[in-house]
Amino acid sequence: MMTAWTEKYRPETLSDIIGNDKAVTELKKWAENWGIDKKAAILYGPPGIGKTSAAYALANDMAWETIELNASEQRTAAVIQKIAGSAAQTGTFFGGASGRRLIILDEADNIYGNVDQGGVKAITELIKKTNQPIVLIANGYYDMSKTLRWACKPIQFRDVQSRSIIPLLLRICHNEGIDCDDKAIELIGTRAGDVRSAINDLQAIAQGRKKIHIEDVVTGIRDTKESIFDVMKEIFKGSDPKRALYASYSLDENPEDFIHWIDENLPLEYKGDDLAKGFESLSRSDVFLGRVKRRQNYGLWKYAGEMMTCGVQAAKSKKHHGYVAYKPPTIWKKMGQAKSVRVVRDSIATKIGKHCHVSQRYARSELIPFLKSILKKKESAIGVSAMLDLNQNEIAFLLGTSVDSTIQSIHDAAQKRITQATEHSIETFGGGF
Amino acid sequence: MVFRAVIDADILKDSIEAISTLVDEAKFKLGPEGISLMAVDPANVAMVSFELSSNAFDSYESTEGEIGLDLVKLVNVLGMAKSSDKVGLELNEKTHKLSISMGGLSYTLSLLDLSSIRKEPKVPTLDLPVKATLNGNDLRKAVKAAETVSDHIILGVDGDVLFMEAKGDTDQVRLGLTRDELIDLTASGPARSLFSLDYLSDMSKSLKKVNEITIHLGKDYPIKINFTIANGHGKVGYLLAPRIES
Repeated sequence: MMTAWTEKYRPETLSDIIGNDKAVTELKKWAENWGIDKKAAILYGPPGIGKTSAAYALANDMAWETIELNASEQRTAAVIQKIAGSAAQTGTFFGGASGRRLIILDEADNIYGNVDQGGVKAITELIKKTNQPIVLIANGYYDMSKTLRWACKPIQFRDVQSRSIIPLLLRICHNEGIDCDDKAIELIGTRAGDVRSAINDLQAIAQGRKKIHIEDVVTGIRDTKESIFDVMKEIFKGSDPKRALYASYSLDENPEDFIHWIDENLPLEYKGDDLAKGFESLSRSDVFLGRVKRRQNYGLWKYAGEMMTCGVQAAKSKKHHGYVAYKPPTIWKKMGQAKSVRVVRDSIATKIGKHCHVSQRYARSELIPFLKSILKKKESAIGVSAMLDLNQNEIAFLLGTSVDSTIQSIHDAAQKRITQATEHSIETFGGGF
Repeated sequence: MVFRAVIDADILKDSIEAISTLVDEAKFKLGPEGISLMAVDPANVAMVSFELSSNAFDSYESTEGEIGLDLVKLVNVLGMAKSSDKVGLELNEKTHKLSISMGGLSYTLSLLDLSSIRKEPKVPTLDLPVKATLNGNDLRKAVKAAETVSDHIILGVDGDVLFMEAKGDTDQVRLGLTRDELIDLTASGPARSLFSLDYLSDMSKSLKKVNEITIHLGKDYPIKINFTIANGHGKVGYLLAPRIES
């Protein structure tokens, strides 16, 4: 079996890490002072620039053992406690109780959303109690919970410039006995964007060759990012349904993700009737995607795919000219931001459901819109708020504003009414003296 | 590669369970002389070494080679066997499967890809000052008693006494075994180390039926536990790294 060059040329010592001198120095200092303070470190930054390599190189430099818990394993709370927990409290085979072991938690920003949501808590606990050094590795620093961030020393890794990547590529070529054009190497180094991709590209291009020319690189690989834009161009500007469809097949995206790309960019290209027709096709495609989910029949992806490519393509009445800068879908970001809003909405729906004896779903889709217009009058707003015992966030949601003095006053008035009503009923039932 | 063998269900069960307490998947080395294995647990704190000589089998035939087995599945399969059963094992190299037959049942177990199994650990050469031989059940008892008060245990030697001590937040257990109560004790230096009971408890499960075990101890150093299985035709060795006292 052929070994991956990214593994074969993984730096053995910190001084072999290319770029990121500041981060490497910080990491080294952290390791040397570890023990006085048992804080864990977070190495964060874009993928493929040597975070994991730095962790292993560090362990090698310090003569520490390593254990890695990566995302391919199921990182449930139980597993983290059992494996990392044991590792964090135990010495080593060679060094006994004073032997050090580096615990590497790769993709630490990816723990939430894993099967067990206790994962983050387990890691925070682990970091607090550890007797061994821990390194967390993540892409986004702010994707991690605040508690986790506060418990760790952050060390940022930045993009490695292509002029630092090129010498490494040259060294690899030399080592593998490959004759490579300077221009070709330069192109590989600049195009890839990060060290790992550059090495992978080089290996892929060098497969079965002893000499690499610039032409080999130009027709080479790494086009997924570009081609998603190409496929959209084919859909929005082209007129050949077959080409659009086949182009979408070559993408490394499934229809469920790809539909968001089209959804995002359709209004940038089509206007007026074309836009309406385009969305008509897209919504039909979405119906198929829903059926795929419900029936677990992935064969229906075929129709979804055809509707979103050929269908959208055929929706335009004339050719669209001019350059449009396509954007990646914002839906996931919005969904994340909308999460707190959804929580509020659902809690209103629950309250309505209780009051009106309807399901939360019905309340959400059928009743909340009415409530929104009812609440526009302040007097009825107070009445409804009192009736459903809404809190300030919920009132603000229905009025489509943020919590301000108006909301405050509605809420106060409503609460007063609730108290009065309660007192009244106490009196009615002989509560008064 | 050829591997064909028949063995008592009991012996095979004991052997596999001695390994499966630490690892779920393992790589066995097969050879004309017998089978062997070396594995480390996922946390990298406990190691097991295992040897079973061809003499432990009723019949045995094998060439050199390696196979990867899912021990969880294997233990389940062997759970079906009666202790008086004979288990037949045969490797089918083409289909990459191990067929297991016993008392009319026949299973085929898919082998694991060797590259997917954790690498064999590097084995340290440790010169530990204390060597004690004792009844397996004594250690098991100490571990069980310790578990009632704490999650870790101190093992050490004080003069002529091998002691095991566990301290909880409020309670404490101590078991002292004098030279007379042990089968043998030699100490050329001080020994006192702290261990996780989770692991010791897993390891001591296999000690139930073992009359004689040898343990090696040092000061804040790993513990080595060695014993024989299969009427002396097999050897099991555990190595457990010490806990860090905080």
